Order: sequence, then C-alpha cells, then structure tokens
Amino acid sequence: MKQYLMLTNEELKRSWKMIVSVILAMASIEILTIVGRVIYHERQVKEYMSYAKLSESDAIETIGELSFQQASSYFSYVIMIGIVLVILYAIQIWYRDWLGESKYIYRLLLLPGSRAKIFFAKWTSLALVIISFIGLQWVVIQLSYVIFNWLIKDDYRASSFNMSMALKQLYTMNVVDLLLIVLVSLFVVSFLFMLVLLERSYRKAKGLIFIILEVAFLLLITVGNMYVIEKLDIFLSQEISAIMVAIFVLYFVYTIWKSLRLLKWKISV
Amino acid sequence: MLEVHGLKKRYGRKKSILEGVSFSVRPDSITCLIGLNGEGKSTILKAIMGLVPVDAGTVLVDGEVSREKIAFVPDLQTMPGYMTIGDALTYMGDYYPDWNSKVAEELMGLFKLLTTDKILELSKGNQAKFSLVLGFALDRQYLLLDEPFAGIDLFTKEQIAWIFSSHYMEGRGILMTTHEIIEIEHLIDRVVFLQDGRIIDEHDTEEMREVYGKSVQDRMREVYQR
Amino acid sequence: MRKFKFVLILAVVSFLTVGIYTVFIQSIDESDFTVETVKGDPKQPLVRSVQAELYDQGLKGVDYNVRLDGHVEKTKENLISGLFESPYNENGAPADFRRFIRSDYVLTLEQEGVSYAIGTPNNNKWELQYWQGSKQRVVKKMFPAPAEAQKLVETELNPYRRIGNNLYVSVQDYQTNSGTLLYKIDLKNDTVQKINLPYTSKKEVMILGIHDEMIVYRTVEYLEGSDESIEKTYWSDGETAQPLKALNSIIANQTELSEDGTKLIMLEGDSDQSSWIVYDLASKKSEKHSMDIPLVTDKFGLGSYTELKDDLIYTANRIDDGVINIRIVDAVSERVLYEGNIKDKLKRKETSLNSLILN
Repeated sequence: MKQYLMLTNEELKRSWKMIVSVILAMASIEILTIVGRVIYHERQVKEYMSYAKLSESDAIETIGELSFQQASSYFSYVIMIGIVLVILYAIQIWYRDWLGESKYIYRLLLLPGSRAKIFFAKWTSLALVIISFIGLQWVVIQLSYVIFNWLIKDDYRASSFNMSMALKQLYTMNVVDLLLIVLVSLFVVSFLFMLVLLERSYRKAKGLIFIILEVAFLLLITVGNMYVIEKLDIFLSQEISAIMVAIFVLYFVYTIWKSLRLLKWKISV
Repeated sequence: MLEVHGLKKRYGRKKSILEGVSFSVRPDSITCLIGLNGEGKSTILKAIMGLVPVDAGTVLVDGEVSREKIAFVPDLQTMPGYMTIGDALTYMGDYYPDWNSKVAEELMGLFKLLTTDKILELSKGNQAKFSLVLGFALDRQYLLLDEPFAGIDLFTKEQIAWIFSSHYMEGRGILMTTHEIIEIEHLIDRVVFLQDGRIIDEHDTEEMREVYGKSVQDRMREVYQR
Repeated sequence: MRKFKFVLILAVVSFLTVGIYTVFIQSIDESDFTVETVKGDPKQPLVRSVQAELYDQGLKGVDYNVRLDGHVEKTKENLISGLFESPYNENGAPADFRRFIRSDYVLTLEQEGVSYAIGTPNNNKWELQYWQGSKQRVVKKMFPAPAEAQKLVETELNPYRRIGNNLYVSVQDYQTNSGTLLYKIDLKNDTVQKINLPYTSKKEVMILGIHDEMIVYRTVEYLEGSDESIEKTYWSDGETAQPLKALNSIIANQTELSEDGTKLIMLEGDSDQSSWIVYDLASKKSEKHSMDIPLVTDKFGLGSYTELKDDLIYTANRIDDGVINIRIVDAVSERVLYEGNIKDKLKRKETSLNSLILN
C-alpha cells in the first residue's frame, strides 16, 4: 500500500509542472473570455447608441442584456481541450517510461512485489487529476461569476446565475451524477491503459492487430448486445438498463484484469 | 545456485531468439556470457529478470522461483530524468527492503560520486559506476550485469574491474555479458558461449587454461570462426 | 508525509472543490408549498384525487407533486434514476402485464384504478389483459378477430372506455387512420359485438361519448390535395345517425359526453379565460360558459392547465410568482365545488405548472 502511494506520488511529481500549467492556463483563458465578453458587450451598446442615436436604456433593450450564461459560453471549448489533454496524459504517462534517455520502465518492473501497484499508481494519478479538474473548473465558474458581476454595469446585466447547456450537463447539481461522470472517465482511462499495454507487450504489427481485436471485441459486446436485446424483445426497460449496467461493470473489470495480466506476464522493455 | 532451464523465445514462426538456453551460475563466482552482437545475451538477462516475456523456460534461485534474490544492472539509466544521485539512493531505500545504504555510501566514496549530481548529466563512465552502486548495494546473492564495460574509458574500466576482486564480491554469484574480455579475463570463473540462440559451449576458465592451454580469447576465436 | 506530498495536495484539492460544489447544491432554494383553501372542502374525494405537477426550471431540476391536502412529494432525478425509471403506465403492475404492454401493437386504458390493455399481433386473435390496482392478478382473454376487422391491413385496437361490463374498443387501420370500427366486448360473457357507425367509411373517427347504447362521434375527412379537412359530428343509436350540424364549427380542446348522456361538454382552447360550451343533444341548443381567472404566465409562457372529467372542469392557473389557483367547477351548473391556492413561501419564479393529475 505504501509503495503504491509512493509510486502515485512519483507519477504526479513528474507531471506536476504540466498539471499546474494546464490548470492555470485554462483558468486564465476562461476568466479572460468573461472579461472580453463583458467589454465587447459594453462596446456594442455604446456603438449602437451613437449609431442609432438612442439612449443607453433603449440601446440595451435592442441589443439585449448580457447574462453570465452567454458570457461563459466559451468555457465548454476550454473544457473540451482539457479532456483531450487528459486523454493525452493517460497515454503519455506510460510511454514516457520507455522513451527518453533513461528508461524508468526497467526500474518499475524490477521493483519488488506485485506489478499491480505500477498500474494503480498511474490509474490513481489520472483519477486525482480528473477529479481535481472537475472541482477546480467549478471554482473557476464561481470565481468568473464574481468577476462578471463586479465588472459589468448593473443595467447591462441579465440577472441571476445560470450556465450554458453544455456546462449544465456536467454540473447537474447532483453529486451522484458527478460520481458517474468520474466513473465513466476512469473507464475510458482503463481502456486506454489496456490498449497501451497491448502495444507495449507485442511488437509492431502484432500489437496493432491485438489493439484492433480488442476494439472490435468492445464493439461486438455493445452493438451485439443491443441487437440481441431488441431481437428477443422480452425485456422491460428497467431490465435492459440493468443488463447494460452489468455489462459495463464487467467490461470495466475486464480492462483492468487484462491490463494487470499484460503487465505481469507479457510486457516487454 | 541460479539455474536457468530451457529458455525459449521466438518472434513469429521464423525468428527464434533463444532456443532452449540452460546454464547455471554458482555463488562466489563470476560467469561470463559471451556471444556476438545481437545473439541474445542481453535478452537472456532481461528474460531472467522478467523484463521480457519468454515462450518457455524457468529460472530458479536455490530451487525457488524468486526474482527478488537477483539484482540487475542494465546497460542504460533507469531512474527518472530529473533525479540526482541522492534522489535515486533515497528511492532505492524507499522501495527495497534489502537496500544497504552503508554499502551504497562506501561505494559512492570509492567511485567519487556526489549525491547532488544529476544522473543524466554525468559522464558515461560515472553513469556506469553509479549503476553498479545500485546493483551492489542490494543485499542480494546474485547480480546480473549487462555490458558493464561498454563504451567507457580505460581508467573507469579499471575502477569497475577492481570491484570484482574486492570484498563486495563476497559470496555473490555474478552473471555478466561483455565484449571486453581482455581486462577481466583473469577474474572470470566460467564462460558460456552463445550462438544462434543456443549455448554451444561452457567451460570453467581455469580448466580451460590448465587443461587445454587456451585463454578465453583463444577459445572465442575458435568458437566463432567455425 | 513528504513522500506523499503531491498525492495529498491533489486529494485535498479534489475534496475541497467538490465540497464547495456540494455546498452550492445544498444552498439552492427549493420551493416550500402550502395549500390555502378558498372555497369548498379539501377532504372531498374529488379534491383528494387531484395532484398538481410542478417542475423546477432552475439549476436543480426538482419535480414537485402537490396534493390539495398540502402533501408535497419532491423528486430529484439523477442519471441513475433516469436509467431505472419505469414508463409512466407501469406503476406497480405485475411483470407479465408489463411485458405485454411493451409491444408496439398493444394500447392501454386506465379507468377507475383498472388498467386495460388490448392488441392484436397478427390480426387473427385479439388479446386482452387487465389488471386491478389492488390485486396483483392479471385477467387474460383471447378472442378470435371479427371478420370485418380482419379486412384491415394494419390493425390497431384502441380501448375506449368501460361502461358496466362492456369494454368499448375502436379498431382502425393505423397506417391510414381510416375505416374505424367500434366493438363492444362483454367481459362477463366473453363476446365481441360490432356496433354500427354510419357515415364512417374512409374517414377518421373519434368517439366523443357513449351512453345507453347511444354514441356521439366525430368524423374527419381530408380533402385531396390540401391540408383542409371537414369535420362532422353525429349522434347514433347504432342504426341511424343524426348529424349535429351546430357543432361542426366549434373548435374544442376536449369534448365529453355528460354522465347522464344528455349533453356534450366542450372545453374551448386558447382563450385567456376558461370557457366551455354545453350542448343539449335533445334541444340542440348550446350554452356558453366562462370563468374569469387572472392568469399570469411565467417566463416560459406556461401556467395553465385545464381538464374535463366526469362533468367537472379541473383548472389550474398561475396567478402570481409561486401561486397557482386551482378550481373544480361543475360544467353544467357553473357551480364552484372547490377553489384553492398552492402557494410557495419563497415565491420562486423558476417553478412552473406542468399539469394536473386526476386519479
């Protein structure tokens, strides 16, 4: 247990600069977009005022007030970039041990004890990064709202806190949903880990073939399952949901089991 | 005794790297695995340590399957790039219950290495010496060394060669791969000749010299020029 | 501890930030509803059967079911509950009934606590199942399909209403929506009897009411090549049919035959006041009725729901932020049997009226 935590710490230590940089960059960009939107809106109103020779309140009525929902509309793009970066991290966290001047993978595989701790250290690193990102993103949203209110002139603002549709999907005001999102994210991470370990266990062509096979297997399970359920046509909707949840859990466990097996028996430096 | 039985490794149907390799390493001795480049010497060491998968074969240490009695010194650096020597030594102490920090300190002094040096900024010779420290400072009976002399200067080679006749060798069984026979021929107890993935010859060096009147180098020429 | 520095940092960050999110969620207001009775007795059975369905359109999507005795049921959905939610017409039904009604060809009717489901998979046999709320037992019956019904290509059986021991089922071709036939299934004697509907061939038919073997129905005929249609209303005893010409021009949201079978009550649509027409079948005279309700729609344009049931008009209307006025009015006499206001102590603007549920 202790070694697993130390290994996790080591993984995070190596990526720390990157993690902090990405967080600061994303937060800064988001806050900048808010500031930018407020200023742009104000300029729009002022320009329209002089162009159409209207009073401020009339101009605002035509152009419309600016709501926080509108001002924060670019956040979803930043979040998407964040997701891509996390996926890249999930892949890089393995490959960096093989590439470069020193090959840390040797050291990891030579450590005494079970190799499972190698896998779970990297897995936990991803988990912590993902949860931190989600939590910090919320804090940035709140912070942006404060900045938004402070910056915008009272008349120009459409009242009350609301988020864009995309953000509402992520922040549904329900903690259970958050757990689910994290769970699905970790499933994706586990799946990626399995593919990486497949590639690292078999040489070139064989590795690629196995990857394709695994992806095909996943597709077979999902599509094949839905097909069978529809054809049989005997299940109630709750039963279908239960079946799908069960298959998801089983496959999730499979990806981890397979990864651990590869790491123990098939991995190659 | 470290025993290797029937190691087999193939890539696909045609390329066979190891074909039933078997040999043993006695404690308190130095065994040298000799072969031309690309013959699979390195692969054998890695296979023993579980760093590459094999299709068949077992490795036993005193009759048990246990890698944790063997230390391995690879021919490249294995610590994360940002680490200093001090960081690496702390790392080893953290993860290995059989890490001997006293021996590590002594060897560091002997090799004149500083804990503040960044590993990847060291010269090749110093890097090689440092790797040796990581191997010898583990209280393990068997030690595998992959090309410990490759590409380093004469002076460093002598320093490294010295350690093989020092008290740090007490009771240990060493298995090493190397091309540089000349400098250490006098230290080697046993040679194992590898060709085309097979063990083609095995001799105690003393026996070879006294009985057959040949040096290891002579024997090498014979074996590989057939 | 230093060896876990970065793990701890991220763990603490995760915990704190998710904690902030949780605190925020808790701080979002939820409506606090009370019911104030203006007129009538809230303990009457017809009032007890009414529930107002209110949706929270704010960040936290809470649904409120408010009964007129003041009892409020809140449901907050999350992704998991959404997955395991059963379709609305399945409440507590036994498993085989639920499997039966899953089929595309089965339609259901709920009446007085009994669920009826009927369908024909291959036009050969009709399969009927019904189930009563209090008992778990499902009654299953099979009937050979009547001759005329077999002539339709894609047969859809629609249970209309149960009157006495008879279940009235309308049958039509669901591709063309035409050729409607009406059948009376006697649940005691297990017979299927066809009821004649004059003037209905090749037209869409809607049954408006059945009483004492008298049927009021409307036909819709689409003119070729245009969107226009001609609607005619008839009153029939199964052999001859009287056209009710006066009704052809009335646009109604909901039309029902009165309990005593003498009048047609038609709820009018899209007017700001609640209005309806009572048409006497014998005298052919219509009376217009209306109620003045100070409706103030919310920012989504919602806030009004009216339903006619058993000669009573149930209407719910938003009259202010967080205030819904509910009235139960006798359609014929205009007498207000009950009036009450659902009030949200917090006067939240985000809650909007979705519908009334009448059990």
